[in-house]
Amino acid sequence: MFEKRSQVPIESRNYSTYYFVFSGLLFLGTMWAVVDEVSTRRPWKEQQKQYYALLSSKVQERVNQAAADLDSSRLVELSAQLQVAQDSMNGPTYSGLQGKYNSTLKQLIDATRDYQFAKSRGDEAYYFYKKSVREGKEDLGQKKKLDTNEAEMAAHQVVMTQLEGRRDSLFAFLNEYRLNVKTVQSQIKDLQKNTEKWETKLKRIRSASIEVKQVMMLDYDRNPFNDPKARIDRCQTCHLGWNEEVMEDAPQPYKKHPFPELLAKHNPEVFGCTPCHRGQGAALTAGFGHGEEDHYWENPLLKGKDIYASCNECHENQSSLQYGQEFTRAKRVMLESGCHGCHEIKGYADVAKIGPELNKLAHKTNPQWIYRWVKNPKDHNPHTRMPNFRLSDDQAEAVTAYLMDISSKNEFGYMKGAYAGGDAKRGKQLVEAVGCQACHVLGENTKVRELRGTSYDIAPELTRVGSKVNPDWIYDWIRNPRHYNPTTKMPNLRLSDGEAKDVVAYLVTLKDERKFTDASLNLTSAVTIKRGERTIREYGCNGCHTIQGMEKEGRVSVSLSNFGRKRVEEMDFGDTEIHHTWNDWVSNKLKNSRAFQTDRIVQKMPVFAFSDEEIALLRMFLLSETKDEPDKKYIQAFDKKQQNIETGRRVAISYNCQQCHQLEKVGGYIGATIEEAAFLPPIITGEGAKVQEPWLHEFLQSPSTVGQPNSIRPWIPTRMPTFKLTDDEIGRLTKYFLGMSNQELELRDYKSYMPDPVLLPVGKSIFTDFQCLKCHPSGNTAPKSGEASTADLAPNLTKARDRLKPEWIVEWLADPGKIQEGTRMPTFFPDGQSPLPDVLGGDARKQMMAIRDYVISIGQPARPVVSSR
Amino acid sequence: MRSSSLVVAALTFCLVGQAFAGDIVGKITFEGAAPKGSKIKMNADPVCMKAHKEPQLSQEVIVNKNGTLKNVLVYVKEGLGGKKFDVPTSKVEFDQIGCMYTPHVLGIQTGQELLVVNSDPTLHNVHSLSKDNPQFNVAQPKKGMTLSKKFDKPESFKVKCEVHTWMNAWITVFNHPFFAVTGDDGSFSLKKLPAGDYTIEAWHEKYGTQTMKVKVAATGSQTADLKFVAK
Repeated sequence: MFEKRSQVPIESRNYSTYYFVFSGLLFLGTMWAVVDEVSTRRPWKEQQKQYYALLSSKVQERVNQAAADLDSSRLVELSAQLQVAQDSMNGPTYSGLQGKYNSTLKQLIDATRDYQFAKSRGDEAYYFYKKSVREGKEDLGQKKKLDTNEAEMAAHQVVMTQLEGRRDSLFAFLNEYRLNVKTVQSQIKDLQKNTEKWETKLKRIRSASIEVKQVMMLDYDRNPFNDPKARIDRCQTCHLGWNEEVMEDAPQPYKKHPFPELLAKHNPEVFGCTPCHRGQGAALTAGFGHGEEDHYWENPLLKGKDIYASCNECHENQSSLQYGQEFTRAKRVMLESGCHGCHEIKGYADVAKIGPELNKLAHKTNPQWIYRWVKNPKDHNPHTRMPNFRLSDDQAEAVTAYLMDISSKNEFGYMKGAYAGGDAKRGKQLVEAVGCQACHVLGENTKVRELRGTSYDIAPELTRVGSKVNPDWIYDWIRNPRHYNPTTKMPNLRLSDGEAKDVVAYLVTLKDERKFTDASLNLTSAVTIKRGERTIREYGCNGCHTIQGMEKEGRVSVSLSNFGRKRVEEMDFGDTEIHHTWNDWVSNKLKNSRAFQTDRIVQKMPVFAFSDEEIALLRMFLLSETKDEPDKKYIQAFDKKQQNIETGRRVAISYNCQQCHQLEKVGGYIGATIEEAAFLPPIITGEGAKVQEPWLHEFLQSPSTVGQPNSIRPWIPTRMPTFKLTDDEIGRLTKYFLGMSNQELELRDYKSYMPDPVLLPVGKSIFTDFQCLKCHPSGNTAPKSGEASTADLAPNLTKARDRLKPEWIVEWLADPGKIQEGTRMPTFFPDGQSPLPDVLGGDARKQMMAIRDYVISIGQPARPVVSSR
Repeated sequence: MRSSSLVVAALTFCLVGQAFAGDIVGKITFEGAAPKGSKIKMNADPVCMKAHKEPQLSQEVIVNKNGTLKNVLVYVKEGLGGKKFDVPTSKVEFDQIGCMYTPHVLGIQTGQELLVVNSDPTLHNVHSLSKDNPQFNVAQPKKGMTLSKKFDKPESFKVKCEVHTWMNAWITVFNHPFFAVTGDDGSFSLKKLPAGDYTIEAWHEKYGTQTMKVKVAATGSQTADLKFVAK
């Protein structure tokens, strides 16, 4: 009728086709949305399924293993026993006993009831009788009734006691049957415990639900307005196996965390994962969570050793972390390189300058040497910590002029010519023996540097020292370093006059063989001097050196406090083609600090010579420098003990104790130059538990005892030098050692400790039996030739009383290897058992105490013993 | 009829199963001039001095009269796969006698008991310098004292006495029973090896290691002679 659809009246048009098509599309769209939402956009669901499948297969292996390990013959045996026990409970004997027990119980109930009735009747009679007595007309009938009932009660009582006895003995019989069954059942259960454990686990895994695993850390972060804000951490949605022992060798993301001891202190159920690993906690895909797909996320996942950078968020005050040795090293490189001299670094503002004071320089060396040195320090000492400022000839001349000007005006009184008469050969032996090489590299012997693994030395190399300083100065310096520089870290080796002369005689022979033509320097012109002052100020020499006239200068460069958060857009890459990333900028800057210099932009940061490893460490350190700080409740309080440890640790670091001693598992570098292991300086990590505080104080103040005839090992050539520590510093070190041994500083009267008069003679006899003197010499004389070598001798014990803590001696005797790994001292009490069963009742602990009481009395004047303490 | 054939089959299987094992026997020869053993100075302990009339020589290199090398540890290095072996109930004795360790080189299986004995009337201590197994350092001040130790992990380590520094010995822990130490005739035998291809290794504390590939047949024994050359 109508040619075209448009001709059909609007109310008669048919829309069903449209409806059908569009509703179909809508349906498909909805279906797609559901599928996309439920599955496509939630890949973690599939991951969780895979995880549980893997986990259950691994647990199934354990179940099978447990079943295979099960002692099946024992199980059969026990099952048979159980059957016998259960059968006996069904047997006639048991049911006979049970019948008897039941009838006894019934009789007892009857007897008890009869007794109760008699008692009620008696009580009633008693009441009426008493009432009648009070009313003045005694009712003898009631009295009789009372007596009768009481007699009846007594009779029932007898029966009841008999029945109770029989009941109890029957019960004991019956119980034995039941106990038999129970014992066997529990034995079976024990046998199947392991299987059951894994089976239960398997059941739990099979019923585990697929869900987002989320840790919410309330108030963890701060928003830009400093309001607390929660951090959401969903990493464990995919990393499900972090705590599963069976997932140790599983592939990522299911693998078990490799450092459970670290997690014990940073529980991921409370802290989540992002505080250490960074990344986007709320994300549910690897790309977004780790940051590869989200370039605008400012906290990408930390990879490799960079992970340790996040330690600083909570541990910025600590320069040593037990589980973050990489980070400990990074901080050490930062401190030793003196970064804090020019840059502000939070937590390290008060650390001393690393370079020497220059105010008396003219008395130590000559202007030509200074000039060459400031032009390029590495030319004289390739491993010096001083970086190259790449000064022009003019600048170097000006700096030399200024330094000569101020230092020649300062007086320095030292004897001229006093060094003469030494023997260079003896001097060489001394330098090699007393311990100079712990800090100073000399010629070919670079072992300490290599063991230390740093590109720099912490003290000047002495290979060319004869061309640097004059002999008068060396003599004065080694006799007393603090005379020239009151703040030097160089300790006093207590060289005698003769020894000092020998050492000078040796050191002056160490010349720079190269020929230099003297530069023509104008050092007296006021203009040059003024220009030198400006240059020094401009380049910030005072960051590392104390220089007269620069006292009021601050740090010349930028603060590094939030450097880890510096954006790439804020970094200038100069004319270089270097890839624009934070890492590349930092690595290149550390490799060559002038890398980004252009003809317009002048850079002043001097050029260091860090090794690639050090660059990686410093880069990690810089990455850690952020202002991010979690809410207080997430940070372990930096309590008094921690503070004490850190304060003392910094004293130990500043005096370079670890060059000789191993401390907190780091150091002992001098060991590389000492062939005989027995002559190594002691490991001092556990010193707090070991030595008496007064002894430690005296020793640190004036360690003249070691190396001298009254020392505990006088044959050791290496000397513990005198550091002229202040009482404050000694106090800090003492608290540090005590803190590391979990002890606190307390006033103790060690002198009042008396040997027990009963134990003392026993101790002496054990001491003889154990032949302690085989290794511990009794006197202070070194053994004669042909006898044991000094290298095989243990410390002299005559000093024990005034040196060792009495309780430590006992702990040491119990297990020396536990206190000092690898010690040559054996245990005489393996597994806490004494080899002398007849002494003190075989009580190992008592025997150790007896030895201790004898040891502290060796070589000591008799003290009155007390009968008890 | 049928059951009897089954029995025969089972018996045959058992017999063949037993016979599927061969031995490796051989000797360790030494070429070159034997180094002069250094005399041990026992002056430090009079008890040790008294124990010997003649000064003792170092046990580091001992060349036997027939030109073979003593104290060489020979063992299967490769070829056993992941097979597990029973732990022997017998103990391995390690004696301190005359201020010397006897034997100087020994092998032991994981889980097997090592019995350390002091046969000297003087103080000895045994200090194991093991890395994978926990170290021990135990004193034995009296004659006749014993100490039992077991090792969980295969490794080779030195044992020394801190009192008498000349005393040292080598202990190697294996997770299989196929090892032997050469004695005064320099011979060794690795018994009852399942048929297969093996790499055997001989280790000497001074001369290092020598290896050889050996094919063990189902029956009989294979000869494998190895040679160390003086350095």
